[in-house]
Amino acid sequence: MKLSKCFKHASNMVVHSRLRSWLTIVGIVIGVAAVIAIMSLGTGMQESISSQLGDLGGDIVTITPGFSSGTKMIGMRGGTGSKSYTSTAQAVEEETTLDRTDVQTLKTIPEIELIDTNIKGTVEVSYLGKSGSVSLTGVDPKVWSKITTSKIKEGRMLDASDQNVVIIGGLLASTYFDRPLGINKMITIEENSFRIVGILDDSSTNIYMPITMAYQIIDDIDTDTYDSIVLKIEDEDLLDETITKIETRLMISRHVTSNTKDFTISSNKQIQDTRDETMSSINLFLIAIAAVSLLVGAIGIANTMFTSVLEKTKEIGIMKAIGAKNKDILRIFIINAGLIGLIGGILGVMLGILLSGSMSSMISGTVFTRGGTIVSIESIILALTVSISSGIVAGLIPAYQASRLHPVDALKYE
Amino acid sequence: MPKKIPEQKNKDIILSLDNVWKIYRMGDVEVPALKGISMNIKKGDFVAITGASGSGKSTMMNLMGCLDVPSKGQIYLKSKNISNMKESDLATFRGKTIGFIFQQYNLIPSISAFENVKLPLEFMEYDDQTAIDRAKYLLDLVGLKERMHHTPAQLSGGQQQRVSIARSLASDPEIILADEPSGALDSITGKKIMDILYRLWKDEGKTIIIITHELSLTRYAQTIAELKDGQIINIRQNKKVNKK
Ligand SMILES: Nc1ncnc2c1ncn2[C@@H]1O[C@H](COP(=O)(O)OP(=O)(O)OP(=O)(O)O)[C@@H](O)[C@H]1O
Ligand SMILES: [Mg+2]
Repeated sequence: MKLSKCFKHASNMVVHSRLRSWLTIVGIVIGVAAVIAIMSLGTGMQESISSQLGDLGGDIVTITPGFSSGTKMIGMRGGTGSKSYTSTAQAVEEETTLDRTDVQTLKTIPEIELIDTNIKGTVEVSYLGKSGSVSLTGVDPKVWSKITTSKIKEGRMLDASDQNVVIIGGLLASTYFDRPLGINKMITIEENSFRIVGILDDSSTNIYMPITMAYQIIDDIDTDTYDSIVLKIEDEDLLDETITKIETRLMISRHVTSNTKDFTISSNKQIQDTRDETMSSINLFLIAIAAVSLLVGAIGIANTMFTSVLEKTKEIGIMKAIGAKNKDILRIFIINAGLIGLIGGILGVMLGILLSGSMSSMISGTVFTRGGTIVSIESIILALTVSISSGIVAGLIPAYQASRLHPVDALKYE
Repeated sequence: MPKKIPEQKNKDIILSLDNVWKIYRMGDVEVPALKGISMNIKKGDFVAITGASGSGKSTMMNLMGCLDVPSKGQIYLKSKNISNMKESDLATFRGKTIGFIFQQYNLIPSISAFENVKLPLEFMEYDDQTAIDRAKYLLDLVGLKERMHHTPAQLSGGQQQRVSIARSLASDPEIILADEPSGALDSITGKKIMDILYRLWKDEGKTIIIITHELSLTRYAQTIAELKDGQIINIRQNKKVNKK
């Protein structure tokens, strides 16, 4: 029998299937709908987590002076314990600083793309008679905009020619003072006037200004010494190797050994890794639930197929008596199973989209689901593929058995 | 290796049973339904197989129709030993050569009379138009042109049996095998069915094999075989019936 005719008879079988078969299709529908809904929740969650955490900059490395061997050591490859990528080394010994020579050393490392030198301090800031103390960071205006993970909400980043200008955190701009601060407003920092050129899209009270200005504002810090050096490396995948290289070069130039090391190298990689891990475990969990739902659907299809083949045993006998080959019977039943999967799948996707819509309005308040639910094309394709293929797989065994029946045995079946 | 069984050569013999046994096994008990049946059916013959209930008529018909395999012995269809044939080849060969009519009609309930008649042609991969024309022609032949889009449930028993006759003729087979074709019908309707079969034999030259326990129906047949306890106890020619 031609394939098109097998198709005709298979779909005819679906149309004329008993109530029981339709009830099993309902089982598939629910399975698929659950998968679509759950996956839409997961995708929404993922979207909102990644939009909240933003790009952490896995290729950013920070060097700070001082090294505390008491801090958490993350044993990396090689297991020397000499590398700590955490940012917890706070025991800055007074005599150790970072300076120009370190920057010169770093400039010789080709794996480093950008170098930003920072100083930090707490400063008095006032606006319209109100004042408070906030943290000030002096940055290299030429590179900071390319290296920072902060985003500008209003105005612009710093650029090379900037002098008496600052960029301020979102909270400082909006609610810190009696009146919100806007672009081009002047604020007073340690009795000097600065113009605001940019407001960050965050909720901090930090102030950023060109490092040359910061030296004049922040007390007791020597020009050409730095509180931290922030690096952007060429290739994030080579992070570990690059950090080892930086460490070796700095130890040589600073004349220290791994025992007397007086600087700390840290990266965001770890935080990012943790976040990625969290995301993938959420994903894994969702996939597990989805898999279970689809499995239930697949068992439903298998059940339908078994009963439908049993119901059709006599018809199989008739078909064989009038010329059907085993292959024809096998084809008809496999196509039938695939169609049941397809119908269940399509109805399931539609129900799933409805469900996900109503779920979205129910959970819109919670933090991690601010993104609502997102029905991705991938989840629809996945659900349909699985429901069709599980239909076919589940139909394979009974279809094969049906095709192998002796015509006379099938005919006698009541 | 099964020993090679010689193919039969006699052109006049269309169907031949050679010492055929059918033994059903029910647990440890063996039930012999046919015990060494040998019979040659000539092309163009009208054969009636009679016998009491349980004598093995249906078993014999299933074997003659290649719907079942014998426990012992050989069956030759158009000189071909069917036990040597592949499943798919046998299915096609059987479909082309034999048309079945069952006591319980055995139509596919979910499709129309027309679709039922067309179905064998679809299995035989006839092209669509030929299949459609042939199905219409056959339904017209059995007088059901008006009812062709009815499903079996919408037809009377006699009408359903006529559909099944039309279906059995679909691929223009040389042999029609009918197991109690009028068994489920009243005598008048049954007679109409028998008349159609008689006409097919007489006008179209089909080889007709019917199974019946009604002795009155044997008057249509040219050859009458009587079964008892799985054995043929008598084969006789009916002189009164001839093809003219
Ligand atoms: N599948 C089976 N398993 C076991 N025994 C069977 C089977 N089919 C038939 N028989 C036995 O074989 C014998 C012949 O059965 P068969 O159906 O051929 O009889 P029959 O002549 O057609 O009878 P009837 O006129 O009642 O239809 C009977 O004794 C029956 O019980
Ligand atoms: Mg019988």
